Amino acid sequence: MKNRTRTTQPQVGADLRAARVAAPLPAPTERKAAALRNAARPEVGPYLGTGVGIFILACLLPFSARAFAAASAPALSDVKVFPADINLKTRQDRQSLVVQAIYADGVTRDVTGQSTFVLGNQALAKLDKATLFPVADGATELKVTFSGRTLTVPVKVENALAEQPISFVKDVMPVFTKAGCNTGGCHGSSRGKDGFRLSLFGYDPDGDHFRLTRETIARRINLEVPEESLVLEKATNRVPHTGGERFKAGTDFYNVILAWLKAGAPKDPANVATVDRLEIHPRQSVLEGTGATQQLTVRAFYSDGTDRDVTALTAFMSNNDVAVKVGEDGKAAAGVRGEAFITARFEAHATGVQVLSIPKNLNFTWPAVAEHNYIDGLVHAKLKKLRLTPSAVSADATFLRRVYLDITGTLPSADDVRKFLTDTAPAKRTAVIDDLLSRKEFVDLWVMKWAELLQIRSADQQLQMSTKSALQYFEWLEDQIARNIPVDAMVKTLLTATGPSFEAPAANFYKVERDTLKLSENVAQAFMGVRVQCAQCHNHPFDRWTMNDYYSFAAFFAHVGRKAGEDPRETIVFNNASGSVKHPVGGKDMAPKFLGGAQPVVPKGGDRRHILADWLASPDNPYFARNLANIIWAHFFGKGIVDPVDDVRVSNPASNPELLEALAAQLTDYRYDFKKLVRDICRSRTYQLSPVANETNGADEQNFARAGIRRIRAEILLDALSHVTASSEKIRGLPQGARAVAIADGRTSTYFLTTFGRATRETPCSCEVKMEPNLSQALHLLNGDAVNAKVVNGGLVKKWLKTGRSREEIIEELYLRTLNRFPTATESEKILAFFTEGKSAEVVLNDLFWSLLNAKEFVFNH
Amino acid sequence: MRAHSVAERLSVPSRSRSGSATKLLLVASLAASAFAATSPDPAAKKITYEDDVLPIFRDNCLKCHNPDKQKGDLDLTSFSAAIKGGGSGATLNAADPDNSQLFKSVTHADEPSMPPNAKLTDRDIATIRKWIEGGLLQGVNSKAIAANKPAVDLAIKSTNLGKPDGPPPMPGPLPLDPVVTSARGSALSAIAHSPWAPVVALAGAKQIVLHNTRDLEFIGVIPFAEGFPFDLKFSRNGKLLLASGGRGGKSGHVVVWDITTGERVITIGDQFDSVLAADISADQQWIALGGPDRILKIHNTKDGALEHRSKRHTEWVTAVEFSPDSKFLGSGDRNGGLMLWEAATGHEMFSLPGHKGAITAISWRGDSEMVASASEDGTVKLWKASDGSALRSLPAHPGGALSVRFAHDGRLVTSGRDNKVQIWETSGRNVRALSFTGELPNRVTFNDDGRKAIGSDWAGNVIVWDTQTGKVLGDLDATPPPVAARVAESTKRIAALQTALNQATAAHTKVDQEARAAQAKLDQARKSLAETRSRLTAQGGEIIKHSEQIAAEPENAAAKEKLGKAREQVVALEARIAALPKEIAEATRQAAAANKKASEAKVVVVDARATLTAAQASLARWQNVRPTAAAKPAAGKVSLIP
Repeated sequence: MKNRTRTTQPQVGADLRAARVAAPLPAPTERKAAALRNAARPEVGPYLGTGVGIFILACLLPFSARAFAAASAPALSDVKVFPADINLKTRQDRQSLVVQAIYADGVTRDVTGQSTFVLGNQALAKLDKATLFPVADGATELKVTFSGRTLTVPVKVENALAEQPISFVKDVMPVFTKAGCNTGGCHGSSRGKDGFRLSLFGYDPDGDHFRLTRETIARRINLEVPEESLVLEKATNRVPHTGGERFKAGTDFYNVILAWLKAGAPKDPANVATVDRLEIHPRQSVLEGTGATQQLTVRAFYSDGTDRDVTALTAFMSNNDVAVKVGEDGKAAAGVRGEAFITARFEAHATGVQVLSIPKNLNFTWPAVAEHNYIDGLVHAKLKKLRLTPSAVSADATFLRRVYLDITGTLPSADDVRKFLTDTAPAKRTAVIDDLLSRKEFVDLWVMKWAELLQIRSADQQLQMSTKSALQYFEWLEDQIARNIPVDAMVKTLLTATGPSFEAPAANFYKVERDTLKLSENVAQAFMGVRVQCAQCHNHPFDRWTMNDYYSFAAFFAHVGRKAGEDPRETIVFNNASGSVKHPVGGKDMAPKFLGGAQPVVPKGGDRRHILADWLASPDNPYFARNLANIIWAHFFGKGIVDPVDDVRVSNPASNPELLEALAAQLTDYRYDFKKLVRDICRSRTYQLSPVANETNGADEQNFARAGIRRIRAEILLDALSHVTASSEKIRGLPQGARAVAIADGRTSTYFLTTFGRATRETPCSCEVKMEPNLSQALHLLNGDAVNAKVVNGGLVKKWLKTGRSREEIIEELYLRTLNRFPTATESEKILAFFTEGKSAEVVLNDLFWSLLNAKEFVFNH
Repeated sequence: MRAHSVAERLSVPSRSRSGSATKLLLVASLAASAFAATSPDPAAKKITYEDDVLPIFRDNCLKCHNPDKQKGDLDLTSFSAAIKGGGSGATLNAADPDNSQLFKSVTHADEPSMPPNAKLTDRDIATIRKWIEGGLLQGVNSKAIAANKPAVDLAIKSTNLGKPDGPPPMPGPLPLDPVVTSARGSALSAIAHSPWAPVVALAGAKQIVLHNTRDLEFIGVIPFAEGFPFDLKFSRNGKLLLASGGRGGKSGHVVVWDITTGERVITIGDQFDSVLAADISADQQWIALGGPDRILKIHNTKDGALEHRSKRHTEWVTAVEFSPDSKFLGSGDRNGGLMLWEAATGHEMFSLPGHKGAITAISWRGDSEMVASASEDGTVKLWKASDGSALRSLPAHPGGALSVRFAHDGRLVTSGRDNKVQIWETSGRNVRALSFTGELPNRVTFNDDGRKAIGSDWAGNVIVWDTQTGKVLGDLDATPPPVAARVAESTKRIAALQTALNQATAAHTKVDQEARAAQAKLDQARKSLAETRSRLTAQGGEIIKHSEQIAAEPENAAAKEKLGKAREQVVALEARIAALPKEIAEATRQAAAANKKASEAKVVVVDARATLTAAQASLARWQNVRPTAAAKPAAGKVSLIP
């Protein structure tokens, strides 16, 4: 059985980055409109007035824009033809062509239909609608002309008259995949359908051949009357077929299977050529206007040196149908403004390209915005491509609250707010960042996040994972992060942990998960962001991982030995030097191989984990730094550059690969001192953006053109509530008043924490922490103990009233404590109106306190 | 064998005996026992519970099957407890291991498999088998336990059930033109041989192809308009042929023809998929059918109405067959489920458990006592019809047994995914493998007298074997060419044969002439010899005459001269006479050789003429095809019940 997957990494953006936006000088009305668009706006309070203004201007714009567009259509900057060379071998071969024009403003157009093709030697090949067919042997050139530019494509024809014998693996199997026969919902399911099973996405061609021809004799195929074979009758729905009509009689798919049957349903010889890699073009497209299309072409390269146009046999999938849809024939069509990644799958190979969709007649000018560091440059590059502009920078109060929450998980005190807002130093934001990074709370926050990745949690069965073990593990982690140990060193310590777990708490890493396969899945997911789970039973349907990859990675953990120490709660972890991971098909003992990397030489008796650790937490493993950088980014933006952070796959690419690459490179340069990367992120303009959208970036959710609004996570929210009300919480296992962030054991929780989505740490999945707001949470805040009891028990208002503070002072204090800003004049006015005769000031102020804590502005990080 | 007891008896010395006598007897007994001990015959050693089986139990079973634990209420620590059995009853049946639950469990032939998650060694299993077969001896002194039911008499009693009086029915004139002409053969889903006549029916593409298995000649074709025939059966009297099939995924029917007329007598069913298995009962009252809808249906033949149906099968029904006495119906499915039904009422009689893979074939023995089932689990199992008990399980074809068929005399022929075709006795003893070099022999059957077997493979080849020797006798064409093609081919062949004949005749003529010439030469030589001899005699006379003359007239010079001449003549003649025999011998040899050549040439001519005549007869047959009755249902009702 062959499991082969390769991915061709898409080179994204290279072409377009070169084409900078060079818009002509706008007319005076344009400039004014542009200036108005980019003006900073107040964060809070209605902006309806300005909205109307924008609306009026927006109505005016198209008129001026159109007049303008007619006068200055972007110049043609390049024409490309794909593929760059054509090799036709045997009579059945053919090659389709795609011509793409690239314009000065970065827009691309599929101009295949408007190009002229002239073949040098007409006798060698025949051209039919941009597809070339072989006629006679020889070499010549194809000249492709568009808009005055001519490109030359070398054409080679060999064995033009030779018949290529039909091949089961090369010809018939791809039909099953493309026609959808072997998907998981149909015959590719583990039991097949009505007794007929095909391997999922064709990972087992030999087995499929047997099942089709010999498993049930004289039923599925008929070599005497091949047209009436059941397989064809069902696939064309000539007889009732639950799966419907997969293809029509007389089409290419039908003819391939019929030809194979007519040849006697032969099996391929053992040395049949296999696919080495896939190539898809064009690599980058920017489609302007709904309905604009771009035909994609896919070429497969075989182990015998031949290539083949497999566009018709490739399964295409878009990850954003609304923005860009892709048809069965590989034609991408633009929808609304947005970006999409088109995955192409042929046999066991997957690759993909990025296609952007921008509205027609968009007059786009990049405003003058500052770039604080490399992060801004890379984010802006992407925004320019998408014709989006970033929002304005957030106000000071907004920034202060956000950065306190993100770096330390605490709210600034009222005095902190006052001080910051009145500070006139130009670098005050940087100063705050540096100050916060030095606090213990920063360590606490990241210890909690790592504890989730490492699944620090005691088990009901104390012998499985005792509370003591969990605590020791947590304390060890705390120590590591407090001392700012570089992450790669920490990961290496974990992976190679040996010895009794009470003495070397890092060894608890091997106590948490004892199953070799699950352990390797967790390592891949937590440290590399890759989910290989699917590849346990079959080749991953949407990614590059094969069963071979899966089991050979798990083999690194095959020699982990565990035995109980004297204290039964303690586990001694050691290198067993024996044990194996067997591939379930064939039972082969798998040799360890780096996931997506090379196969190392493991010295006899050596500890495989050391070899793994040296690779995994090193620049040799491109996934490590990227994953770490992405996790850090996701913490500060609520969304990773790859999202979810632990689902890196070919069909889920980074929204900004250059940005991720740069962050990873920087982190590596910092020797995995993640504090430094945090500093870079917080200092960038992109982090400090306002959450208010401008008229370009309202729909964008993934390119960081504006700040996201995120619910505060459970532990931080609970701590904030306790802190602002000066009440304390008693959590099991911790002293009174301890912070929820400091809870060591994943099993320890409270009603509040569970309702607000605290991670149970039963898996290392990023989905453990639930950030979605829901009804339970709202009700709990409104009606539960959390807010009301805390306000009353804290007794702050009472205290303040006693010390003689005025209502206005208290109101201001409450606002500064909770929302970390001054109340607006309107707000103050409205609140003061509540102090009617007969109403206790304490009651009103407590009600105010309660209201503030229930406000979305408090519960959300914005 | 009795040495022990003798020694026992003698080892207690009777005081009344004299010491020396005792010693003598002791010595004798010791000698006897020593003799017995050294006399090698381990096969005759009795397998007993105490000596052989208990150690096996101790190593593998007693941890759970002891008086304290008694899993399944079964205690094996003592003989009496083992015989007593467990919660489900006795686990040991004397002399009948295949029906002993304990044996079935340790061989994993039945649930529960024992030991759980493990299996005894083959040696241990063989020991237990021998112990049961030997009558469950407790110790060496024990008496064998009589089997609590009479040993199954596997011998077949009657072999002619259902044989019609008079000559066995042969097909009448049938269409010779195939419905489908194909370049390539495909695997046959069914082969059926008439029980009494040398006729075999092959399931072809939209037709059934019949051949004569005595001379391996093509008989004709029965078109199957409903689609592709999937199952074929002859009725027990050989007069009717049943075909079931249809269009996969869409429709299915069962059709019955009278082969003597080639006419349809009944069409049944209207299924929504091809009918994968069907049969007509021996009394021709019932037709059973089954297919992918998992429902077993029994129709009556009076009006074709559905009489009984059962949803008992949990997967596609893949095999059905009525018993030869029309009492039972056996059916099997793709899950390995096997059932016996009461044919007339459709009531379930027995479920026959044990197969772990799809049932591929069912065959009844001619006396209706026994039914065989073949399965993808690789075994062929024999069952007793009267009580549904398992008689034998033959590990016939690892990878999957695809076909099984009984002969009239109780032998079995089977084929399977190990690419082998085997002949067996009813007892399960393998007789021989038939010579097969192709791929996947999926269907085999015996001919009418059991001396031949016919089978097909994945490529659609149909092979005929001699079952006595296992050698291939010939093959049959399941994809016959159209008559026009045959005529053309025949004509071409005749032309070639004619040429050959002419050549042979010409050659013969030539050689014949040479023979005649040689003969003439021989005769000539002989004549010459005779002549010379007579001349010699004559000259002898002359010499005498002249000698007498000279004696009378000594001075007669003329006479002396004549005498001299005569003497010279005699010398010459004698020389000639001496040389002639050699010539004659040579001529004889040549004549003989020439004659031999001539007679050989003659044989060639005769052969060529005979071949040509046969070819011309064959051509005449193809050319004189009489239009036969089209395959339409008979007008009016035809009662199938004889």
